Amino acid sequence: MASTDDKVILKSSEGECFEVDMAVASHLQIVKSVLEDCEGSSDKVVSLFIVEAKYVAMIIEYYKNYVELKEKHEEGGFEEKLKEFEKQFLEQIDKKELKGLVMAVNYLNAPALFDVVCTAIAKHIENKSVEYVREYFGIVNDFTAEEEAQIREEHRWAYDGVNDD
Amino acid sequence: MSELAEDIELEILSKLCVKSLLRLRCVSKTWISIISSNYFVKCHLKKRTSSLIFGELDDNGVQHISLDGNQLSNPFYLPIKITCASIIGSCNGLVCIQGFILRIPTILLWNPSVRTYRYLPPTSFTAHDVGVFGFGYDSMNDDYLVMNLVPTNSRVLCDHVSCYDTIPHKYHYKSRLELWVYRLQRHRWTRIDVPYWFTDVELRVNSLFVHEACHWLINIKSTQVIVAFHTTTEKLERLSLPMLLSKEKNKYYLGVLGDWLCVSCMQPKAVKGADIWVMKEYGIEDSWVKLFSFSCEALGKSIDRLVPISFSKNKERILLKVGWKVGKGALVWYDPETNTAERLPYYHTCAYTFVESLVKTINGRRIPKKRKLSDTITGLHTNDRLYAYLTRF
Repeated sequence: MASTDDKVILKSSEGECFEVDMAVASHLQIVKSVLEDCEGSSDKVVSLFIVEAKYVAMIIEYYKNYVELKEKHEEGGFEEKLKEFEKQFLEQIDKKELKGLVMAVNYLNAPALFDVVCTAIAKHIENKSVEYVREYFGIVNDFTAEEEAQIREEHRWAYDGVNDD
Repeated sequence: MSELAEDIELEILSKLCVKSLLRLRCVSKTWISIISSNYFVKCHLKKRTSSLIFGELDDNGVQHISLDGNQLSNPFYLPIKITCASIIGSCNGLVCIQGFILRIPTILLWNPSVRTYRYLPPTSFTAHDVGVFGFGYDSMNDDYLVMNLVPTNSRVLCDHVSCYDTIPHKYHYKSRLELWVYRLQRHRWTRIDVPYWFTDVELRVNSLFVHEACHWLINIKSTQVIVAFHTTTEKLERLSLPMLLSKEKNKYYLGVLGDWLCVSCMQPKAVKGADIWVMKEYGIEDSWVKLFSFSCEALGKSIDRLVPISFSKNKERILLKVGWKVGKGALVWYDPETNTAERLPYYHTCAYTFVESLVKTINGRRIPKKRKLSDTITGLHTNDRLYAYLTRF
């Protein structure tokens, strides 16, 4: 029985089910609190209503590695190994998906991954133009042309050296 | 409306550098209000890692390197031509600069990453004796302070007169000292009462800000002590040096490592090296411990002065500012375990830790158009004229 006790099923918005170790799922604060609320019940399925399957898979992948690396490098070196893994992990995610992922992670309340994804998005927009950033975040410019020109004038030098590739 | 919630945006924005943030102010009304808010300025500041500014301010550029990797970034240029410029202190991204403009002593608060600055109103200093300064932050009131200790009479004795802060100027004041404090929010100097013991003192120019207090090494009646000015309470307090040190006639320098106040004590005749002491628990005199001894063998030549500046990221190495009797100082990464030193290929006349930030040099409140005469000191017409001239822009 012990083996099934340690598992939990996460259900994506499409209804796809993922069986995860409790050690992994416990990093998602929302899962933890849902399970605490229905303690004693045999039902170990947590519905993540707004999270798409592909993001659930990514989040599970991250925390699975996180838990494994932590166990393997108890004596030290965990942080460097985690950094290495994070780099590989982020390489396979497309820039548009980062946005979906950050929303999912924020909803699931998983601080470590939230920080990683926010850093990745920040790195992506660091040297980008205002127009690129607006488009990337889907933000509509609500300044009048005069207002915008005035704000640009205040720190004109900050607009040099942008690159949108 | 953005696709992302505002708290996610705030988290992402707080990881960007100042230049990007200044540019992204014009993304939308929401973003400009996030980026301009004091709350955001503080969140952003908390996430910055320390770097180092150093250089010879006379050529108007200040060099800037990261502490991990020693990478040289673009230098910061002083916003205006200042002669004999030196840095009083650096705190939360603001750098306090002292120097002369048209031969008139001037102090300014400068945020090199945002490229804004603000002149301080003239203080009671005269062109010949500007006294001793300090710069610090008061977290309780979220305010920045500049301290100025000035003699009521002229200086009796002075070791050095030099523009460079690495040369240990030492002033001996037989007379009483006045303490004037400038607060950025009030934008004026106020006089603070000094305690009775604060007289007949020998004072070093260099100050050090740590633990919400500005520190100077002083000599009161032939005893070396540290005097601390607490920015929140505005009180002066004495802190003793490690027991062993206070009576010796050695040379000392104040430094900082992490949030420890430290003192480097040059070994006699400055041939062998220096001992570095840290106050492990701030304010507790029994908590002074010797952290390590620096041996000059590591550098291959003897030194005249040594000031600890910072730990490396992994805390294994320590960044030291070393100097000789003449010439410019050097920056050295020192490993106490192996007694090895790596000298950085830069010279400097001053070096301070620095974090880039959005902290404003103008603090919301408008400067009253007419300053009351009592706010400033009378009889300093040249200063007032210059100030009026400078603040027209």
